[in-house]
Amino acid sequence: MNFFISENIFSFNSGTEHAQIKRTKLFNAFNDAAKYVTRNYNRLLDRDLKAVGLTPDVVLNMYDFFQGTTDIKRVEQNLRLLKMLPLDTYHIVADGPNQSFLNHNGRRIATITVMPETVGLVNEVIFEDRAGNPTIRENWDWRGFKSSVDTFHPDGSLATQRFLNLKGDVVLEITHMAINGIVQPTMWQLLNYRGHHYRFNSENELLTFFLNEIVKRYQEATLISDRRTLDEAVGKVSGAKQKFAYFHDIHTPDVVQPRLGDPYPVYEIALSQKNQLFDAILVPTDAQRHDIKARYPNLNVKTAPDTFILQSMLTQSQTSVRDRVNHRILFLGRLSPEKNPEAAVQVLAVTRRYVNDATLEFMGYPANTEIVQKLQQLARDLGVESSVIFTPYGNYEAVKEALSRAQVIIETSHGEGFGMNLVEALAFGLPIVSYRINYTTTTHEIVENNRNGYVLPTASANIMAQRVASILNDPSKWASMSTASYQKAKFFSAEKIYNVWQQVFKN
Amino acid sequence: MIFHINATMPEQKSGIEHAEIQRFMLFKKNHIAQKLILRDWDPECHRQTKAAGIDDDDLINMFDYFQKATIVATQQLTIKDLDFGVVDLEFNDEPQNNRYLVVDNSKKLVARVNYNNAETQRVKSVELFDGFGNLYRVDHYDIRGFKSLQQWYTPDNKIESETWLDVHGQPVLESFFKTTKTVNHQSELTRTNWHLTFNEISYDFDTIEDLTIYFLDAINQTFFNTLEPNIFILDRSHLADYGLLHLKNPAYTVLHLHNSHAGDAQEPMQSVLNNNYEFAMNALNQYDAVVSATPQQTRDIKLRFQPSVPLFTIPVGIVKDTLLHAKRVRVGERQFGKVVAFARIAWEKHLDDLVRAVGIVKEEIPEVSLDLYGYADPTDNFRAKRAVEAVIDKYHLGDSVTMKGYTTDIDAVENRAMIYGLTSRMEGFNLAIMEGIAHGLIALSYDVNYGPNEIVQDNINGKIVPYGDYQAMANAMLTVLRDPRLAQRYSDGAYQSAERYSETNVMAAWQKLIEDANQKWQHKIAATNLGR
Repeated sequence: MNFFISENIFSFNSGTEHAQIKRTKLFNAFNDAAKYVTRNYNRLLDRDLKAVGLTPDVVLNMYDFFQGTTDIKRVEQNLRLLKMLPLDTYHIVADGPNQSFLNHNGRRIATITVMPETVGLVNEVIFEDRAGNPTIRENWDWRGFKSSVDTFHPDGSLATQRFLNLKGDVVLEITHMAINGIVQPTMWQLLNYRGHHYRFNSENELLTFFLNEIVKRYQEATLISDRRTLDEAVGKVSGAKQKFAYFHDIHTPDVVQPRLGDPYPVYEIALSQKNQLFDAILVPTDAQRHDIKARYPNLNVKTAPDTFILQSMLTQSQTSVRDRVNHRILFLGRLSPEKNPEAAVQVLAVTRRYVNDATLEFMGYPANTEIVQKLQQLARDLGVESSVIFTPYGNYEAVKEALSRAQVIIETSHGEGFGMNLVEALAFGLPIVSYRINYTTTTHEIVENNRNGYVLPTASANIMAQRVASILNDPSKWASMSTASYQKAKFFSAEKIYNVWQQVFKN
Repeated sequence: MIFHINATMPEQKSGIEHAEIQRFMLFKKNHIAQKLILRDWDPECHRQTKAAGIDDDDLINMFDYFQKATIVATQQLTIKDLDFGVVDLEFNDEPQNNRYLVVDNSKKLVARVNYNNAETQRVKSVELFDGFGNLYRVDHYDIRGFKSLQQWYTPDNKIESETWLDVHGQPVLESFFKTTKTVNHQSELTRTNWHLTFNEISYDFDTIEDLTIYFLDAINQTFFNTLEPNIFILDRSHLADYGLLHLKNPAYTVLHLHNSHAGDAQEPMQSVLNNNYEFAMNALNQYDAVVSATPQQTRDIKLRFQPSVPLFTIPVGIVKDTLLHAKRVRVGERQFGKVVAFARIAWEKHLDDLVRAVGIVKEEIPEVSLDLYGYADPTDNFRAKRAVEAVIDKYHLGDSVTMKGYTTDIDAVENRAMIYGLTSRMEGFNLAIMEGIAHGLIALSYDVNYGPNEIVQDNINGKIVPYGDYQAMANAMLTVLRDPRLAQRYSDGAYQSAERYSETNVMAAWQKLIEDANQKWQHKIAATNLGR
């Protein structure tokens, strides 16, 4: 059994989660059982995992495990049908679609919030004292059972979190107290787990305990730590068949000269030559592997692919240029500073000198609200405001639609471990114009200069715009580059990638 | 079913608890269905009720009720039974502090385990520390050996919430302290909320009084019977003087006075009301019955409030048949001049006056002596005790007056003494002087409301002297000590007059109340839809 270990599955996932989700699907597709393991408490996980196309049986959450609620089917729990509320004593009074009040003789004793995206299903019941201070907050799982209960310090901050089994008994308790004057969780305590209490000073200590339990239950467990914040916890697990740390990103801020740059602090645990917590460090590209080996010769480092393309995607019919939005440029990725989305706006502005109806579509969830405003302001300043489209980040279907309607994809990032967005673009036959960045476009794996796009040695929006325009203005060039991208996509077929993984695990 | 309502049954009992237990035992002897209801949480509750002769079957403590711990087999819990969730612990016994310090392998404090005494080391409470040295919780254990209450702490070390658990360790009742502001903007933590989860239903209450109403409603419904009423006898007004008036189902509610209803018992018509009874006296007609212990008090209530509810005079003291029929001790066999008093050494008992009287008597009769039995009230730095000591000094009574402390060996003391002296400022009944006459002691008392001037019958079992007149008290003592025949007549009268408080007589008085309850019951339930 393979366990790919991460913090969570979110409504908006980053490349790390996407890679892990795809890997989970890949392994299971080849009957090599794999589970996406999450550490964080997430009572909406059942919704979130389905949104990314996973099934509950391939996802395992730590809290669910201890709560004994891993195999629960969803039941819709209407807030007005809660058995715990004595409606011969209290009134439920609706206050819009998002919440209702529980009143006693006109005095509010609780606020009942509605589960997001539902009509009238219970989310939280927040009891309060006579002055409106929260006393107890009871939290429901998406699947319709009471999952946890919170209490609060007098200043309103969390005091305790109690996690319940289906019977309603407390099985796990988090206490929030002060460390150096700052209130934070200070203790995780398992209650009566197989007859004993267990105390932990951090969530990661509990994670190690949890993974040890998992390893005991499943023979031949292979663990992959997909998040650097979890390396220590996963590294301490004993009895696993193999343990790996997968680096989805560049390990050093020095993206230009990675061999010389010190690693980010969070990478130091996995990169420790002394402790060697893992059987191997896994990275998406040979280039990154060489760089790490050069600096850490005693570490075992292997290349393992970060993504693949579904068979169904490879066999779909190709989209011709006429079926796409004419002169549409796509930026696909999180809107955050390190992805350098401002450059895309500049590229558009210059491109429009040569292609006057060119448009730019951003698809990616914004890291913050200011960044969208900043991009809009820049577009206004450059006079291309009406040609920039912000598409709200959606599910994979929405991503596919954006890829199908674009004619060119551009990559302006300063560095990418392995640009999944570009691999996706291959499957949709998009010519790619990218800066030359570690570790995505330094080899020919994704983009071959002049064949399925352009790789620009210098990060110049002007030059990028000229390259984009040259493709958009030349239908035959577009056609040959598109075909080349479709062909390149085949190297990322599920079967090929799975075989690589098997080799990684074997040696 | 008859319910006697009180707060706790502590080791050091006041007159209310003594009266309640005597009543309870009398009812038990007469096979009357009853329960003692204790409202307050007390981890030692079941040891104390057992010591008082009350079986767990006959007891419902409110917290027990919600914790589903009314009847739990006792098991001795020691530190070995505790699970701290940490391996490699060291247990350092500190017998001088009755506790263990529990440390982990890096000598970090994990817990302080407080036990009852060094021999049995029964766990009473555990102070728990997290991995960063914060005291986050104190767990309190019931005498029967289960964790009963968790007190949670704020990061700055104040209690912020309390969680009561069922015997399986699951939360059932929680209470919260939140920040409130006083008028001068000081912040303080105030208990603002109670949250109950009972039979998987959630209830929220502002106060323990609200919670008590819910509890009494539950009791009333559980024991509801269309043939005869539940009778609630409220022995401590603050627990439910309001609550009993707001039960969902009908019941027969009894306000039982254990003290003067008037703040100044000597001014029963004018003085402000005893704070404990102010609400109840104003709401008098909403109860089904009022019990006072003496005809004097009943008369005064009738005069001042003219209530429409029946008033019952039922002595709170009961002289047991065994005592009533015990062998009488003649005055000549007793220690000449021995005066005793059984009372807390407290301001309202005014014992310094009794000592003054003895001081005066001693000038003529050197054999006179006084033994005071009762613990000293610490109020105002033992003011009452210091007053007694001052008088002892003034009259040079060091050899004649002794403060003996609390005793339960009443028979031995009272069968040897001669006189019972009482100089209180006020009384609700005074069980002690009743015990005195039942042992043939000559009763000498101030004319004080309520009880002493009823229990003492002037010139029959002793003398009633004017209120506050210790010279008159001294004269009464001298009269008796000078005249052996008079002394014997009073002693005989004392034995005789105790008959008024016989089990038979007191039970008969209660039977009248029970008959009243039964008579009214059909009318009460006819007014609801519960009788059908």
